[in-house]
Amino acid sequence: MNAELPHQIIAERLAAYLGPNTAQVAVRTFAGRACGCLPHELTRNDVPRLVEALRPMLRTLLGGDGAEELLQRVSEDFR
Amino acid sequence: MTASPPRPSAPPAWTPSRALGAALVASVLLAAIEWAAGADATAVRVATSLAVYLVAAAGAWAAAWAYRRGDHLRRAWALFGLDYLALACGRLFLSHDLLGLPAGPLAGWLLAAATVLSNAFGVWGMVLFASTWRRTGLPLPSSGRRLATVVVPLAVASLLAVGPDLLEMGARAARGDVVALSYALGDACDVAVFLLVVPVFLTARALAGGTLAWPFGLISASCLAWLLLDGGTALTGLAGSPSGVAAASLALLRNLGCLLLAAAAVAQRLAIRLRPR
Repeated sequence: MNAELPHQIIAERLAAYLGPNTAQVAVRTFAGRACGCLPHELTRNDVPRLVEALRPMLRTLLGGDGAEELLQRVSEDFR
Repeated sequence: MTASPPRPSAPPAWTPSRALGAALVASVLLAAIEWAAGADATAVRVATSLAVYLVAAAGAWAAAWAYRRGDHLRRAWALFGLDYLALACGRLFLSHDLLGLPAGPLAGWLLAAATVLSNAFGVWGMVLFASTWRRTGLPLPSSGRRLATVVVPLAVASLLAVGPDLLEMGARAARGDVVALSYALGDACDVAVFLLVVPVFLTARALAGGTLAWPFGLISASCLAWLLLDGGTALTGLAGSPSGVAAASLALLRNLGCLLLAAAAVAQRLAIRLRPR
């Protein structure tokens, strides 16, 4: 799948670690909490807030270093 | 604007499936060595037990050290490492005659202490693994009713597996046997671990398709091997002391319990060292 929309790009990044289903659940959950929107409504401007919201979850699973590296890569996808 | 999926920078020598394969092969080989050595080869049994306990401890610490200080799963893996180190110590104290130590109260107290510590570390580590999903802030992967359909049969199976030993050790503990008391506590801790494996398994299932599913899945498989070992020990105990194929089967389950945990640790290291591109 070639991701085009912000929520697809982020979910695809997360899927390598979390699996495709949980990656989508994570984007949906944290998009709702951090941006108050549905995944397909996410814009590039929402990405920094979503990245911040994903951080605690990723730190729990990947540890501090792994989470920061992945989130940095997500941020770079939108530069 | 496209994102290619993260890939490791170079093909790793170890993959989770290779670690699983190595654990299965080594478990069978070591059990076959014990079987070939016969019932009287206590030294071989002690050596293989120590080998698998220490491999599991080393693997768990290797996984812990892949995390940063303060990370949730670093503590969980470090506790598993201590659990298996205490198991190895307990095995040594159980074989005090091989070590040239005199049989007596000291060997018994040391064995009891190692048993209690091992179980305490194991339950604590398992609590941390079981609480991982809740800490992520993601919605629960399973409903309460669905959980109950797994937990209730598992609780019954756990009690059936450890029940006979728990009753026997409880009776001996009531007569002042400190080692039996530690074993009875260990049986109770085993039931707790077998129940805690439910959220760990559900975490693995929720992460299916991702690299993080492997460690949680293999930890669940390791616990299943320990559950089967407890059940097998109870069954063979009914027919007297296990020997021949029965003893080799129990050794195989013990090896699987330890080496699947070591494979989980390898998978954990690989998962968190996967570098996004």
